[in-house]
Amino acid sequence: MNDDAELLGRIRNGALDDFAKIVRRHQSKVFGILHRYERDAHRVEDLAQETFVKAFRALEQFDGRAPFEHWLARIAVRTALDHLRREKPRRHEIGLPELGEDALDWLRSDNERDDLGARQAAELLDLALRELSPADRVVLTLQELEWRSVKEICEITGSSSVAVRVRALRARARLRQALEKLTKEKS
Amino acid sequence: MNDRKLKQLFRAARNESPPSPEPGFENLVLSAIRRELPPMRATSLIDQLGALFPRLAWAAALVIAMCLGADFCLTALAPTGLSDGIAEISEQWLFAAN
Repeated sequence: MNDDAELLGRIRNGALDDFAKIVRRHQSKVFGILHRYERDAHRVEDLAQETFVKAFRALEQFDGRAPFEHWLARIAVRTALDHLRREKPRRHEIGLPELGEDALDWLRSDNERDDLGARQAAELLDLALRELSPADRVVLTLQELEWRSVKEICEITGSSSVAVRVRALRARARLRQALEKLTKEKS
Repeated sequence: MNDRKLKQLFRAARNESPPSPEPGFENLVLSAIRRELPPMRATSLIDQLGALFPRLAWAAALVIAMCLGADFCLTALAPTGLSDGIAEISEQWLFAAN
């Protein structure tokens, strides 16, 4: 991403308007990351804005050793983690939204069916992931939905590889429990 | 829930498309950044002189006015002009030195 380096150089020299090009270039990726943690589109937009403002503030700390995209993704995940921590007490007050019949059928069925749509799966998963702690949710999301390696997850979360592996294992077990609980609740 | 079903759930959820950014989203970000930026301060020498110049100009005008006023008063009070007075003083000083 040589273009990024050139643009970032200009921004550091005071060309603030060039940051709009950086935003345009990376906004889809940032929205994609944040949508894994927040389903409301307006909130995703707010979080994306927060991510880019944080990136701009920390621009002096970007040394260019890793691609800018990776550095920005790290900021986005940390923004999502902060958001989950802020929202955690409130989420239980709001209550669970209703799941569609297709998702419920899929959840109740014992055999593996391939007819679950992407949106229903994401909604179902979001409901179950709410039962996890924010840190567990982030690790599991990074590993299973974004297919990040343990090394990358360590860099993003600042945890050791052992801690990430243990947390992922524990998070997976909790997710399974949460899904089973949902099945019983909705039956 | 078995492991294969869980993997199936992850696989299906992975395919969901995220919401698209609204047109002009970058302008929202720039506005937010501009609100946070501190006001620009004049730091260069030129800027500082520019900021100080009105005061310097008034000070210089005041000194010139005081000199003109003093000259006018001395001319009015003394029987001789200022230049004659200075010549007289310098002659007296030279004779005293010799």
